[in-house]
Amino acid sequence: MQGFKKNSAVFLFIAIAVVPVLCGFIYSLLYSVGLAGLLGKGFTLEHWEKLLASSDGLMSIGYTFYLTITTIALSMIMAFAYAWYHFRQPSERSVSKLYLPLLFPPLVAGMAWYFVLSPSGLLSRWSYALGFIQRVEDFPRWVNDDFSFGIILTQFFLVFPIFTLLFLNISKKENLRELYRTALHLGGDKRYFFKNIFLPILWSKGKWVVVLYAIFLMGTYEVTLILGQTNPRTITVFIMEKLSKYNLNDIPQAHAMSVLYSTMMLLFMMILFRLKNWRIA
Amino acid sequence: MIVLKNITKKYQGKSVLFDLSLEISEHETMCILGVSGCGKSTLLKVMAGLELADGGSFEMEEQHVFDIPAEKRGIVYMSQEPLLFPHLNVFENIAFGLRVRKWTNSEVEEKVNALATRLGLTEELMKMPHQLSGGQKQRVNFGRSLIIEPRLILLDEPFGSLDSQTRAEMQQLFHDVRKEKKITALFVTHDIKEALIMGDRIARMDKGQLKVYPNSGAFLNSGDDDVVKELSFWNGVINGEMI
Repeated sequence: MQGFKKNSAVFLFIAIAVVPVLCGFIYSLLYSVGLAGLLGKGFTLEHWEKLLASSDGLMSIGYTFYLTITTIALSMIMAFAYAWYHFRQPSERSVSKLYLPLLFPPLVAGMAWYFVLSPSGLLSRWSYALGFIQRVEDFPRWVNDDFSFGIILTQFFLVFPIFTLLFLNISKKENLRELYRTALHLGGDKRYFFKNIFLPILWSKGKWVVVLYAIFLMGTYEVTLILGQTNPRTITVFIMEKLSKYNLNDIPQAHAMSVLYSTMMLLFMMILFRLKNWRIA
Repeated sequence: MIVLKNITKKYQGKSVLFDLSLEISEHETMCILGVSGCGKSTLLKVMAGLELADGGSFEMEEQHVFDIPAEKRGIVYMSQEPLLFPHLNVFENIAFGLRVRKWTNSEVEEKVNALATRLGLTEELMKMPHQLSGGQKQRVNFGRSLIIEPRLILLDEPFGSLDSQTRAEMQQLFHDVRKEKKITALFVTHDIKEALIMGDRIARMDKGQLKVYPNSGAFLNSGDDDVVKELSFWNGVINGEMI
């Protein structure tokens, strides 16, 4: 009975989660080589050649990695710092505030930050009213800008609380306070404990969530659509544009990009699974 | 020589340690017996630097220990829960104190291997803490404490969570190693038999105060209620009255 229940759960998971995604992947692969879709005229690598030859597609990949790595790195550093601060000075009130940003969907957060940071936004108007700038145009460009400041800030606002709550939970579950006492008796000071116990434990227990969230973040598009430039754009925005444009000849490139992105993520995860003990300290 | 004088500690106005004084000689193991909540764990925590005393003095080799931060006291506190570092294997757990003191790799290796052999942990050195049994974890904890050659080890019912056979093995191991390494220790327990096996001297703690007996014989002949009960139980067993 137990075995039947277990097998049913696995079957249900495969049927609901794996099969549709696999079908989508296979369809995209066939579409990208001309074996499916409206304009499919038999096997061709033309769309792949176009995608790989254009700086547009490759820039999208690089840009997506830049945004993800920057956001995740910033969020992780701040989450580690907050978890350490909370470890030293515990306060339940400060933790409860962390749940607030999680109530905002990415689209709403993107719009909110747009209204705060754009040249006609709140900060710009206040700066003008307070005399910090002479003209509204003098306000620095923080949305649709070259360094994607607005995107990184918004994504940070969404990711930082999740990582912080994750690290705080690990800290509690792994009994770090008692381990601190143990380390102290064995001669380790606060600094030694932070570097050799606190950080490695948080990282070793939380790294898979961080990686999976990074992959999830790469797949989102609302924030980058609202706050990003037309070019470069993220992989998801690239795919959306190619799919929704009137030029039907661009659709196979969108499918090729989907296949490329999925394969890259799959390879990345396979490499990580092989490196069993990857650590930061 | 370890000298505690007039130690007092209150929690929310209630006295836990009251004018407590104690002397422990070098290489001596003193066992403190007492019921739960009598203040024995608090005494160890005060000595280890985990709690602050409200009054009194604590001297070790003529040093005022209360003025020294916990990490520099050279006092190791071992609790019932072994609390190994979960991300480090057995070797690195034992080596922790040596790494803190920046010993070279070859020195660490030599010392850890020697101690692991003594503690019967050679087969376990590369295992992670979650792969160990309760007894093995406590052995690692013991090795981790012992390797830095502390001036004093405080043991707070360290074998309390072990099954009776493992507990007996650990008691024997501690008994042998403490003699061999000339350890100075304060061992807290509520088990009279354990106190008799472990201690050179035994003390009874009651309501924050200590009564120290000069030797095991004096303790057994003291008329202590628990001793009388324990002895009458075993006499009953021997005479067949309890079966």
